[in-house]
Amino acid sequence: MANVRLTNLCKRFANGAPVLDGVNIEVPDGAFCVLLGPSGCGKSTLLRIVAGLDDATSGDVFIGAQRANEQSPKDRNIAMVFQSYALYPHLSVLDNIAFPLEARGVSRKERRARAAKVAESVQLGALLERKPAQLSGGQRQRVALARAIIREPAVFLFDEPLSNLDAAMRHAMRVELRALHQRLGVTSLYVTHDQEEALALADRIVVLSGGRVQQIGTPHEVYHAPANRFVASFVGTPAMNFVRCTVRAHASGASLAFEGGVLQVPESWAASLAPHDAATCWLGVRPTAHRLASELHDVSLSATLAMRVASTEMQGDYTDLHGTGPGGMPWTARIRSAHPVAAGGLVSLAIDFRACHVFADGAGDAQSAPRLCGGASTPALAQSPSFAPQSFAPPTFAPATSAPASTMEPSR
Amino acid sequence: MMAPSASRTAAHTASRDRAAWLLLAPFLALVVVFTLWPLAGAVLLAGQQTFGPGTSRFVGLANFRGVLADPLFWQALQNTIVFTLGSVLIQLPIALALAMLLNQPGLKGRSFFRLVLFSPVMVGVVYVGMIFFVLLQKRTGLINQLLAMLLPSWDINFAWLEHWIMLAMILASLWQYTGFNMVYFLAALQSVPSELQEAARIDGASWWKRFRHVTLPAIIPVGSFVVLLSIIGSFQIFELPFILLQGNAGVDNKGLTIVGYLYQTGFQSGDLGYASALGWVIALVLGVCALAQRVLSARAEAARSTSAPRKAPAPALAPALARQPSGGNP
Amino acid sequence: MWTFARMHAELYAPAVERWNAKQPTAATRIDLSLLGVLAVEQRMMSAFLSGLPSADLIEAERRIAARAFAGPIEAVGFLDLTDRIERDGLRDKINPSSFTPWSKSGRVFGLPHDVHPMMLAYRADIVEAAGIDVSTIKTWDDFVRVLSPLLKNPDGSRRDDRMLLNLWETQIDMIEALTLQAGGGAIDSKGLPMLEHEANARAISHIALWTRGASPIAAEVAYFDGTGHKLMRDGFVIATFAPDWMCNFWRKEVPQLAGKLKLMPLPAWDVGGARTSVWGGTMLGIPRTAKDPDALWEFAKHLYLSRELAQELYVKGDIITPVRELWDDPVFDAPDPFFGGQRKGRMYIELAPQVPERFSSPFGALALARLQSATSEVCAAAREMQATSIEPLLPIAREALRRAQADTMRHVRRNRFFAELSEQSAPAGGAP
Repeated sequence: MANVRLTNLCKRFANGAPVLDGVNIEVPDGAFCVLLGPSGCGKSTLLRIVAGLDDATSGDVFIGAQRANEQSPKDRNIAMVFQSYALYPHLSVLDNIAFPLEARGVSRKERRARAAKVAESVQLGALLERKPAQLSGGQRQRVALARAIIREPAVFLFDEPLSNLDAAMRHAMRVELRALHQRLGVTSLYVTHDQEEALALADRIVVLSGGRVQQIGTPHEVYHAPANRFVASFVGTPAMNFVRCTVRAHASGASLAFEGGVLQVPESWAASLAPHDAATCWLGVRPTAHRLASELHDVSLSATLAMRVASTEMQGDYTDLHGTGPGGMPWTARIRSAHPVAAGGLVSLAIDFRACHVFADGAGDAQSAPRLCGGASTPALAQSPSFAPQSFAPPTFAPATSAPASTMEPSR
Repeated sequence: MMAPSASRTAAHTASRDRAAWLLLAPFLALVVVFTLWPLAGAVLLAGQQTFGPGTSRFVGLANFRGVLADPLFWQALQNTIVFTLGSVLIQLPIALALAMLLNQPGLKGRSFFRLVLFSPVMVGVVYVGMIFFVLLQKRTGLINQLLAMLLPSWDINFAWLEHWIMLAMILASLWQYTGFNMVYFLAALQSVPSELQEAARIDGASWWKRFRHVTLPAIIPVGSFVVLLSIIGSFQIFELPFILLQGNAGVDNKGLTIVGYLYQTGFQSGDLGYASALGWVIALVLGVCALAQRVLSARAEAARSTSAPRKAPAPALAPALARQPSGGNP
Repeated sequence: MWTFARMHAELYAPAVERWNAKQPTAATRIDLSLLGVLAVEQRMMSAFLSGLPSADLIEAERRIAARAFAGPIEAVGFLDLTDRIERDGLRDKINPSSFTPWSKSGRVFGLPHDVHPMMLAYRADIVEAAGIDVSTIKTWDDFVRVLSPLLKNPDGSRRDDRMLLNLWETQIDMIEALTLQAGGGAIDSKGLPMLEHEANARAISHIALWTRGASPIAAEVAYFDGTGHKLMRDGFVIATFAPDWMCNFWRKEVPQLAGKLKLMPLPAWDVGGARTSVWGGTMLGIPRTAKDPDALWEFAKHLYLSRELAQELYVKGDIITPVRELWDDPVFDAPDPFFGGQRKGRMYIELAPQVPERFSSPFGALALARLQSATSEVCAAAREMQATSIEPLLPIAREALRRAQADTMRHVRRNRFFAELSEQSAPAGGAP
């Protein structure tokens, strides 16, 4: 058992292009840490550096108290599970599992006994004499897991282990992995580009983009309090909607003005937004933050946005509306509705500010500009009497243009 | 109502068939004239005693009986097997070793070495024969001169082309074909799953274990194909001894290969039936080798199809995996 | 007409032109093509096997005879020229041994081009500097005895050694020439192997003694490549076998030897025995498929038997004509500066009548290969026992030849046609 600490880790390709740019991560002993990011963000490289398969250009890797930079992979007391399973094709399941022990000179008898035991623990007991070619994808990944477990390593490294499985199998394996981690309590580093997987498995998520850490936090933090616009847009399905707006701070609170309308924000945001009066920022609205205004009992209590629906996608419990929202931005709304919504029309959507965030508009790397306010700190929809819909509350209405607007209509 | 439409369809099909046959005709004509007909001729010929132009008689299997009872055939077969084993057992490991050296990541000048090692293949075998004929001469040959310079006890009259003709042939073909086989192995090494290599490194497997459990299984399909090619090529060796021995079979027939013997009987002695029988015996031996290769590589391929996808999630693989029943796929 | 040698093509061109100028119609004019030896062989055999026409005249080298003359007489691809030869009195005009390679059961299928008597070429500069007179050499024993003072490091130590004779167990042509000279050979007049002949045992025992015995006198110098030419120039061997055509080869390929070489007749096996042998040979044949054999026969005679060609053949090719009535031509008496001013044409002509007869057979190549194997066996024995004389080698040679003969006969017997034919023609072949 050991913690893993990465300090100032940098990796450049031979041509000088940076892959990792000053990464600092600490994974506590026994934690399940998921490295999440789009392809090319450097997460696999990071894992390979921890495994010792790649060298860092600069920075240090500590596994436990030991600086591991110069240790060969086999001396790092780690085990790795690969996307392609990486099973020895001509060895039986049992021999595959026992392989790491063979390399360590454990006697054949003991090897087989231990391998059989580990195989039993991952439900491979009946398949010991099969060759990998005779197994399903999930079974193969279990063999790979068993081969990692049998080493009793200080750290497990997973490189997108579930990517080659179909959805159902992926779900099942996710649960198994989680259970396994709870049983063994081994520090785990898990790379994936699948945010669902990350949210489901992790104690702690490290969101990476462009070789930099964007956020480290619990799944809850990463989802409900994304550190910046990148994290907000990357985590969550469908992706968060964004519209650029200008902060208007005034005595009674704050509002966000955008092309074609103004939105009064909750009181609780006002303090955070006050210093940014007149600055441009981004309002992020999760698709799940919308409800059809027409189906609310008390429309007067809610802030609303107008959206022109181009298409709809029935998903069962809910329906996804695609089209254009405020400022002419592409917009997606996920609503629960008993009635179908017709494509081509304009709908009024009530907003739940608990699923909205405001991000600064950074100069250089706009994506990593920090979050200003939003999320769960916002009072619940029903308890926000001040959020009078603009159409019914002229006093709070501050038109961005001279044209009266009953709702924030899409510019087109 | 149906009848006209059905007949139209039939006519349509017929004309399509005609077009297909018409388009196939040139190819079929070539195959029939240049492959099937000579093949049939060779079958008939093997059952005949020929004697000069235009004189022949059916003798049944007498030619085959003659071949099996012919000590020169057995000597030629033995020589050829020695040469084949020399080629396969010496040449291929060297080719594989060179390929693995060239496959090292970060090697500088890789394409230069590849070109240098491959280039002898571009030299015709006749030229290789002529070059080695000069190199391997007694007294005047560069190889004997060099060896005498390096080893004071070396006999400058060492007769490569007499009692050591097989060694000379193995050397010459080693020079010519190692690079060629190396290129095959180099290509095969690209198919060694890198994740498997890495997994083995993490598992602490030694170099030899990684070679045996990762590299070897992955290159077996190509490897067995290269072995087959080498065996076929070696079995058909003819030009090299023909040039090195100036058209003779060498001292005590030490350089007589099986195709060389076919040439001797068919084209020097004019016994075409006997030569045909010899040809069929060679074909039979090679057929058995090819069959063995197919069985071997099919087995290796079956074991390999496991090792799943490499790198990047390949969407095409997902259905393939999904199709496999979880109970196993014998 | 097809020929296979550049030199021939060059010599024939003027004669062909003269002939064509005299022809009233294009039908009898000759078109000369130069092809590689193998090309001539393959095209000729393809034509014969398929019964399709080829060139109307084909000049062929000796080694194709085995295949071209196989089978029954009436199936041979070449026209039987025997009657024409008799009618035109060529039988007596031409050296008899020149006919036999192109004959089968007494029938002749080609007009002979040459005689190719064989002498020994020796390094006169070295021999004469040592004060040795080669005219005292009558037999092979004399040869070894008289020249042995010239041997250097005969124990096989390196680089600066010198041998007396260019001869090796791999030189099949030389083995054949020496066995023929001794009165043996590989094939008898019926076309059957005759490897067990005592003369063969004697010849190959000597070859083994000279090359592999306790005190060897012979080593190998390749005839036709640069390494051999180098050794010739270095004087590594004193004497080399030299049929008439070889003189021309050296003249062109190794000009550095000019003035250093001289020729002497082969030493005989016994006092009074033949002083020459034979190597190589060419014929001109008319395929059966030719349309106008009579005109072609006239042209063939015009080409091969004319005095002009005989002169050019010698002047440009060092080859003496097989036509006996032309042997008095003064061109053969000209001193040759390349060979120290010797009148070598006359020397070859004087040996021509002694040239041994050789016969063609489909089993010729096989018999020669077995003869070579037998020689190698005796050589190995000579080396092992450090032989100092041929007496212990003779029984080994006889045994090796007996096995070689048996091996060859196995193939002969397998050929049912040949067995039948040789039974039929055996009595007839005796009276030509």
